[in-house]
Amino acid sequence: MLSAQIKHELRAIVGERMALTDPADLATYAYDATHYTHTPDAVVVPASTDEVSAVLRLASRERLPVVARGSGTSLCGGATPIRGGVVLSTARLRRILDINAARSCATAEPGVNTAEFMRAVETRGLFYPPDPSSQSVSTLGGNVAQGAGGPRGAKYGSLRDYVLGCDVILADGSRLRTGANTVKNASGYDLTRLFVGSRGTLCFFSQLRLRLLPLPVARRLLLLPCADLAAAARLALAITAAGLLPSRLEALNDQAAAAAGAGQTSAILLCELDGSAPGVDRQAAIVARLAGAQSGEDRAGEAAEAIWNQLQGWPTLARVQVPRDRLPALLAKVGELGGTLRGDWGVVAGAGTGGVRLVALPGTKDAGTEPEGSAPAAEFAALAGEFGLVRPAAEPAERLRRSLKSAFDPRGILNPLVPLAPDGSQAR
Amino acid sequence: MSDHREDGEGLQAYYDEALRCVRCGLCQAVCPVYAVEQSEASVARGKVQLARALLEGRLEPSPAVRERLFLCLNCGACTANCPSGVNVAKLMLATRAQLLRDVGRPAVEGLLLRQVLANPRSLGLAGAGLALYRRSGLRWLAHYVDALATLPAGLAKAEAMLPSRSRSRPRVGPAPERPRYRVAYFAGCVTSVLYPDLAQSVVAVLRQEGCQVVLPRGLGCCGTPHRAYGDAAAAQKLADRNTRALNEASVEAVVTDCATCGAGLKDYSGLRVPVYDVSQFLVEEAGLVAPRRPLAVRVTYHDPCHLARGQGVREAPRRLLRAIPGLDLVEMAEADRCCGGAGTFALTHPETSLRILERKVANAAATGAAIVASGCPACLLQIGYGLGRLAAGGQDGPREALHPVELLAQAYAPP
Ligand code: SF4
Ligand code: SF4
Repeated sequence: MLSAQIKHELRAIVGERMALTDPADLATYAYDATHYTHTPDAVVVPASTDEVSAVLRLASRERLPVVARGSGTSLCGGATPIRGGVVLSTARLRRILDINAARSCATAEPGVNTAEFMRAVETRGLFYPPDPSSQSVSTLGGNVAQGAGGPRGAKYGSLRDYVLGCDVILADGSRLRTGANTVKNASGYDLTRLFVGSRGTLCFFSQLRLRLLPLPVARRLLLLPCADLAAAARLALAITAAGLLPSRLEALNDQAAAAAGAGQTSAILLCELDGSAPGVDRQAAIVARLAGAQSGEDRAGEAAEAIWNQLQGWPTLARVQVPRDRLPALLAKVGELGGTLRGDWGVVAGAGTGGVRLVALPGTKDAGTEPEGSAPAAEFAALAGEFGLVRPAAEPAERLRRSLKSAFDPRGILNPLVPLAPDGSQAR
Repeated sequence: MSDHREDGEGLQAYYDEALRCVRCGLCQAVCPVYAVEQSEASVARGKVQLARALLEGRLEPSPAVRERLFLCLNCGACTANCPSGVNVAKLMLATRAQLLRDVGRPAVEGLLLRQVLANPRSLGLAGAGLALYRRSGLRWLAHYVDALATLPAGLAKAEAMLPSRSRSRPRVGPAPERPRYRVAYFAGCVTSVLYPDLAQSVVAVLRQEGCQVVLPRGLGCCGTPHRAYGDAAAAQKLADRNTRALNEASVEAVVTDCATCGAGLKDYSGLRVPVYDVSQFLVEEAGLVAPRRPLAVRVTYHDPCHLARGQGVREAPRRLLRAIPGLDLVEMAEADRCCGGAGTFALTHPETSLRILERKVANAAATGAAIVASGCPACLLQIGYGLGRLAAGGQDGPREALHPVELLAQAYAPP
């Protein structure tokens, strides 16, 4: 519970209506897309960097936990106020400040919707590759805080490669600018890369300078039917072994393929090629040869987008990350889960990135009825363990992590208890 | 929309529905209120979690909770798009009803519902009073419209929303010689009070298509507003009365021009006569046989929530419009996104409603259409108001909002 004095100070900073303390409001900021529920003591919705800074100064003085929140789609509790305190919403920090084609970069506030940003740069003939599956609702700030990218990472690199620099506010309210607005920026500690993916434990992002590419001229989606998920993963490996770099490579199990409207009854591999028009055609011919008898149909434009939109509409229930050469083995195991993965569960495997998602397909029953995580999700997580993906924190790394955290946030107010492994790998 | 569990069962019966929400947050992409408010309580996920917190005893019922549950258009976009199949609409109705039992109804809304909507005469008075008030500047009439006037910022909006049309009862005329169908016309509250010309057009069009139209005695409000505002008992009473009147009318079909009434009527359990939206009846049943003359005009169509998602009727009104020679139908972006009217929402949340409306009007204006057609008088009221504001601001845009049937009626008229 906050004292009347602190509530009063919060209201003085962000205004009466933007400091929420009614239990009815607090109950709606007690969660993100995980099953954890922890009620905050206040929610503030600042409209400027100055206001954020003042809130953090106050929180620091009072040792109040602060959790930044975009659209609350985190799958690892990144926006859940585990220790209560103040939720700092980015809902009013939603401006795209600049799109600069000549410098291939854009500046935006953290609350900007990711899909909206992607559309805005595309109308200028530019391209922002990081494509987290939550893009229709997630925010740039949330993506950067979580280091969230998507299937295009296989060709275009991770989100970190697209954050040129940022303005951040530190735990004590002071401000810091990192990086530059140039694509090349050598020497010195790379604070930008440290902050990206730090899950709100080191700073609040108040402005992001993002790198853009020219929009590829041609884009084509190949739908390749496969015997099962493991076969789809093997085909994906063959495609990259042949020297091709598809912009997206996603393997879908049969249920997911049907739900995506891919017109297939078997598992499929979605292979998106982009680049120059002749280049795309040449690559498509090679993929067709590799797929052999399996070679399927071909979609472009809206028909292709419709399929990707379907995929993005499925909530992720669990996620594991493996080195991509281990995908066929993992997916064979996932295939054996068949009985547990009843009709409505889908598996979407990032055959380019090694990220595998267990998703709820439309109409999934009782997806949310088991608060401690559903049975398939648990089996799925167990598989991740079996494949040695949860690395225990090695001691020197853990010590470094602790000193880093206390250097940036000596009072430990920023997103306390959010799981974070020392080298950035998922702790759960 | 069907399956209203009985009033007495309470919110507990809906716990499973609340648990079905996986909190993915994807409803943020489709919720018109969230696009404006940007607060978690404004989106379906937040409201479902409020219901769950109440059910789990983590939250006490309070007027603040009630207000957040009513910050919603009942547009159904979340329900239609939820990947987990959460029936948000159903859950919300139950939660609202529970809250009203626990903490009571806000004073003003109670007045509006019980005294105005439940009583056709006082609605008529309020409507006519407002119309007169607006046209004549007779300030003393204001006391007729207290129910609207006491809503914050509501009166100005209520006045400005009124279309300026004449008031008269539809004339059904003598039965055609060999009628193809005998249908009952259900003219809802908004049409009867504010759009008598529309009612007349519906009757005229049905007659042109060879129907004998009857106006059964004893019909009242369909009850949907009462259900939306948590008064299931009053809604049921109205439903029973209407069901009796329609069952006794010995007709082959019930036809309505109001999307909301249509959705409500189709949900009546004891009704023995099939209910059609007027465009659905004309296109799918009667088959549009009468000759029509050309109408050279560009039209864009707005899908009413209660027609597109509520009844699954999207194609019929479009086919009806395309059947008019010369009419150029152009699709607008986000045609099925709520216009922000949503019954009394426009009166209880004028600011939010206006911003939702602005997006709708901008989408309509971008088509270059001269007319926005929509199959619901409540949408016509809201969009007409938005178009008026656009014109007053000196901006280009469609000049009026009409029901597809009104355009069809024009096409029947002798040259
Ligand atoms: S209501 Fe549906 S779309 Fe919204 S958060 Fe819950 S499960 Fe997701
Ligand atoms: S019914 Fe419409 S306004 Fe209400 S929560 Fe759902 S999408 Fe939002």
